Amino acid sequence: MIPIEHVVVFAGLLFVIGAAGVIIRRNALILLMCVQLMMAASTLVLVAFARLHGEPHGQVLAVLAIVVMAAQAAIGLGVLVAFFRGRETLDVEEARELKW
Amino acid sequence: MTEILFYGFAALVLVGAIGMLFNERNVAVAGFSFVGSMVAIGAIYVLLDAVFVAALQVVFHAGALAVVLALAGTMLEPRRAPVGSAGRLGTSVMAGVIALLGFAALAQLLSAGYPEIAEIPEGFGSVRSLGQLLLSDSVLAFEFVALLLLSVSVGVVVLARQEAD
Repeated sequence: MIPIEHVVVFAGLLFVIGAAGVIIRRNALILLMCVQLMMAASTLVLVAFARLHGEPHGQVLAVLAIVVMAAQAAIGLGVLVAFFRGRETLDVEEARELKW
Repeated sequence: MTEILFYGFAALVLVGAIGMLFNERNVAVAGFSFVGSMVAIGAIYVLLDAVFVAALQVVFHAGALAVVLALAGTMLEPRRAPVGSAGRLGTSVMAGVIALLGFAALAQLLSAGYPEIAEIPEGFGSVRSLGQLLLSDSVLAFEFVALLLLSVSVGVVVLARQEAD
């Protein structure tokens, strides 16, 4: 059986990679994928602990999380299309109307 | 055997994630690296006895999201591809701090004590067991997710429609 610490550490690594991508990248599509990566990492932890305790509730939560990921991707791409239509770029640095 | 498979798939996931992060010039390559790492995560779900979650992961990420990302990558051809990091000192400092926090959290996770891995009942992670739970214990969350999906489908149409003028 896989040692659960290794799964958790692996998920942590994945989350950190996703967070780093969200911070350092400027392409909105890459940003969206990085957010998905972070959510996938948290779902992986849910599944790992469901296996550790032998309880299927964690897997139910993982199923719900995957559906929420789908919703998030859909809304994210919708916002992206609206953003792109206004200024013909995917650079998130260009979105500065709410900055001060 | 399971452990070796886990380490192999974990390496695949990390390669895909890093490939996504460093292929900013070519969004299509980044998208396919992302899909590859998601499929490998699905394989890890199978190793963790979560067969239905794995199926859902592969169907959603390798099927739906790959198509949507490919479409978006080709349709939203930007004037100039935004490449390079955000480049400000504050951002780099923040990234460094978050990386340090991440390493601290990893060390904490490695040293935490975990209970023994439990024996699993027959049919653990099957569609039947998850479906029964979804429609009994978690039925409220299930209904909220249904509501969320409805509002998302309306919201995306509103966001993405052409202005009628």
